[in-house]
Amino acid sequence: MSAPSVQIDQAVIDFLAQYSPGPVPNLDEDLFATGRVNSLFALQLLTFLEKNFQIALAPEDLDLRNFATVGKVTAFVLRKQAQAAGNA
Amino acid sequence: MDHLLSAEESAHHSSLTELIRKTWHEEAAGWERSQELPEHVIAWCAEQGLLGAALPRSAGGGGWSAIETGLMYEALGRISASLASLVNVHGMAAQTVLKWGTEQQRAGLGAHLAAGRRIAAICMTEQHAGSDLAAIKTSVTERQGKLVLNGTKVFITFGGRADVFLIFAQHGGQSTACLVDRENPGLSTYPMGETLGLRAASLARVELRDCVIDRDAAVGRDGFALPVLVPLALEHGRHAVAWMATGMLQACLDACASYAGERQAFGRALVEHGQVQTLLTRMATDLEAARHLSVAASRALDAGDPAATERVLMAKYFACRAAEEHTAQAVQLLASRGVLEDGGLARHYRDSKVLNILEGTTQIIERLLAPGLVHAAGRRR
Repeated sequence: MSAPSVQIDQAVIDFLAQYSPGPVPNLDEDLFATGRVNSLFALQLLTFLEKNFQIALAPEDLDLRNFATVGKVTAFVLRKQAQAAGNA
Repeated sequence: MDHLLSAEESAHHSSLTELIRKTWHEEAAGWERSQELPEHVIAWCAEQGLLGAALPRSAGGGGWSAIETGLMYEALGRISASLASLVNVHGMAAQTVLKWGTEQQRAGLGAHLAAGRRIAAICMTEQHAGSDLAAIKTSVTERQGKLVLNGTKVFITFGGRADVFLIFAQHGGQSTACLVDRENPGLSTYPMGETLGLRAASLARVELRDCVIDRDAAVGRDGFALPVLVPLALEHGRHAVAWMATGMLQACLDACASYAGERQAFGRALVEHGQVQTLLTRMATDLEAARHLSVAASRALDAGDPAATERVLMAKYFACRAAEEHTAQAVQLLASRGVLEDGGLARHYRDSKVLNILEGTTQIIERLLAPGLVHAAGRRR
C-alpha cells in the first residue's frame, strides 16, 4: 500500500469519526449499508473530498463503487488526482 | 449588520436592500391579495440577475458567494417571503442541474435558468412523504426506450408558474431525479388552495400521469437523488430561509422601534414602558444572534467546510423560531395597526410560521442535529 493511500485512508477515517459513533471501520466496511451515518453524511463526505483533496466531483462520479467504503473512497481520490495530474 | 461584513459586502447589502425596498415595498401586499406574483416582478428578478445570482459565472450566473447570496435573501425577506421563495426554489433546482446535470443539461437548460428565462420548481413533497422523503411513491418506469413518470407532488412552491420541474422519484427501488417541462402533456398543475402563508407563491399540486420523458432528462445517477441531490438542494434552501427569516426579523424590529418611539400611552412614549422595553430588547438581541448564525453558515459554505451543513441547520432553526416569536410580538405591540394587511406585519406573522415548516421542519432539524451533538460531546470527554 502506498504512502498517499495510507494518508488518505486515515484522513477519511478521521473525518468519519466526527460524524459516526462506533469503532474505526475496516477499509472494506460499507459505511452506508451498516447505518453508521445519517442522511446528511454523503453530502458532507463529498464536500470534504472536494476541499481536502482539491478534486472536483462530476455527475459521472456519483457511483457507490466510489464511496461505499473507506478503501473505495481512497481509490477514488487517487484516481481523480491522477486524472487531474494527467490533464495539467 | 455592517460589523459582521467586509466593506464590499456591506455596500452590496445596502444597495440590494434599497433597490428591493424602493421597487417593491408598496406593491408586495397586493401580491398576497391576488395570490400570485405578477409576471413583471418575475421578469425584474431575472433582469436584476437575482434568479441566477448564486450560480457559477461559467454557466451564465452571477457567481455570488454564499454571503452575497444570503444578504440578497435578507433584503428580499424584509419585503416578501413569497418573492424570496421564488428566487430560492428556482435556485435550488438550478444549482442541482448545474452541479449534477449532464453536460447538455448544464449548457442548455442551465443557461436559461441562470438568466431567469425559464423558471424552475423543485418537487419533493407528496401527500404521505414530506419529512421522510424515502417514502416518496412517484415512480419512474421504462417503456420503449423512454422514462414514464406517475405520481402526485404537493405544496410545490411556484408550481403554478414554473416552466420546468425537477421531480424526485423512485426508479427500480432507487431514488432518482428527472426534469419535466410544463408543456409535457403528462404533467398538470392545480392550485393548493388558500394557505396560511406564502400566499403569492403559487403553491401547487403537480400531477404526473403517464408522463413520458427522454432518458437524458434524468439528473445525476439513480440511487444518489436522496443521499446527495436532495441534501445539496435543501442546504441551499435552508441557507436562504435562514437569511429571509433574518430579514423578516429586521422588518419587525424596524416597525416596532419606530412605533414605540412615536406612540404615546398613559402619558409616556411606548418605549418608556417596561413591557415594551423587554419586547424590543429580546427582538433586537435575537435578530443579532440570527445574523451571527447566518453569517457563520454563509462563511462555512464559502470555505467549502463540511461543517456548513450543521451551521446552516442551526441558522435556519434559530432564525425561523425567532421570526415566529417576534412577528407575533410585533403584531401584539402594534395591536390594531399590526393586524392590518397593508402594514406588512400580519403577512410576516403568517409567513414566519411557514418558514418553520418548509425545507425541514423545526423537529426534523432537531432530529438531524441532536445525535451529532451527543457524539461530539462524547469525543470531547
